[in-house]
Amino acid sequence: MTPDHVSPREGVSYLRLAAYADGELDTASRQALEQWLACCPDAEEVLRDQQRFSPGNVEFWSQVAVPEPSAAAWYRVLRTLADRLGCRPEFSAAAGTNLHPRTNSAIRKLVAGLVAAAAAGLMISLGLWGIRSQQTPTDSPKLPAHALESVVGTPRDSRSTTATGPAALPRPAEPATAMAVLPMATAEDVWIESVCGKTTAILPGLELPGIDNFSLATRTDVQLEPFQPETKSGHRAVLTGDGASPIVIVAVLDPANSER
Amino acid sequence: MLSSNGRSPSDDELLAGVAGGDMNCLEELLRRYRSVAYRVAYRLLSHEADALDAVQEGFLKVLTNLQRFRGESTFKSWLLRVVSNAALDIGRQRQLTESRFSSPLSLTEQDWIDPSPAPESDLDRSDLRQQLDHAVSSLPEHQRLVFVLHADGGLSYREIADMLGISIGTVMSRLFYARQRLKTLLADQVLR
Repeated sequence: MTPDHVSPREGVSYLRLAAYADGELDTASRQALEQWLACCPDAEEVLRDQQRFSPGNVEFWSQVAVPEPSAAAWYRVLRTLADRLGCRPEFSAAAGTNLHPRTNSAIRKLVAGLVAAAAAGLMISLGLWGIRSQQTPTDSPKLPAHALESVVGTPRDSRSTTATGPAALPRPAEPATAMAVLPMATAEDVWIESVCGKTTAILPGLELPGIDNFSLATRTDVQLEPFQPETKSGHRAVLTGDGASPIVIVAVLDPANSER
Repeated sequence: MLSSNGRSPSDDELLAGVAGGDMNCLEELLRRYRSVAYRVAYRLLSHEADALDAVQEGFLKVLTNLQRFRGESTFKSWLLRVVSNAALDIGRQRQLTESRFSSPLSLTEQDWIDPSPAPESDLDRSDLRQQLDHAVSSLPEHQRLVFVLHADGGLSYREIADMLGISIGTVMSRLFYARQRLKTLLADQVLR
């Protein structure tokens, strides 16, 4: 016997098996249905079918869970919505970015790791560049154009107090292919619309193997030494003004794609 | 995101923020509901890019028509209604395009159910999900929508009834027949 070949009264009872499986029946209806189930063995199998696809079957639904889109895909949705709705990020003057102050420790560690690795790369890069520059003077190198467009955008304030920003970061002429470097700037120098008040951010256009989103560091994450505008080797370095907060961006430079 | 008093902002507070152009509120609202909206859209479309389009379209429609949200339902059920409608529209459009530019298919249920299915142990999650998605796609639209809103959207019978303007009995009936049909389509090859 199937629900399609039963009396109208029994048919209603069969339909109620769906609600019974989902826990949607009130006490009286549930008790009445259970009495009917006790004397209708065929209904037991139908009930099992209903229970298989009920949200209460956690095992089944965990096996057929919908795969989540990537963070980058969600970021594109957010950007599109923000553009269409006219939403703009609210930067915190104190933090330099509008990251939530309670950045979790795991992300802090990730940032710290990235910063440390990038700093090491920067040191090597600068060293190699220094050696190179003694042999062949070069113009001040720049980040790849696409990276600058997507990350730096339009400076908000041309009266920057920093000696250098990402666009003027010293970059090795050749040896630093795909080497991590560490551009630094203050919130006065860059406008990063991708920072939207969360602990993670995405910097489209930059390549960081295995990582497509990460936290931007704030002053609480990074200790900056009071660099001089000109180092002993003649390189320009980052100088942050009093009260300015650094934005640290880990980027991978590819000289082949850089502007000359 | 926490409000000034240290608690999570309500949906109404976030909606007011979005209306004022606050990016943080938009991001929090998206973060809060994007997964459930995506699950519903994906189950209706079985296609990531299309599902993302439906979610984006749904959020956009909802957030540009906030004045029409009178609080008679939850924001979630309102959003899911719009997202699911967008997904169904995209699905219809896709069918139309496919029928114009592809050779017509005349698949029967047995054509896509492997006549010699692999043992259950060989079916990984992706296989099972794809089979379910395919089976769901073969349901009549009114059954498919109710099934997905309940299973993936997490909506109650009452919420679905209010959303679609139907009775709870109709919700129950559509769910019942949807599941019976799924059981037949998926047979015992993936179900114990």
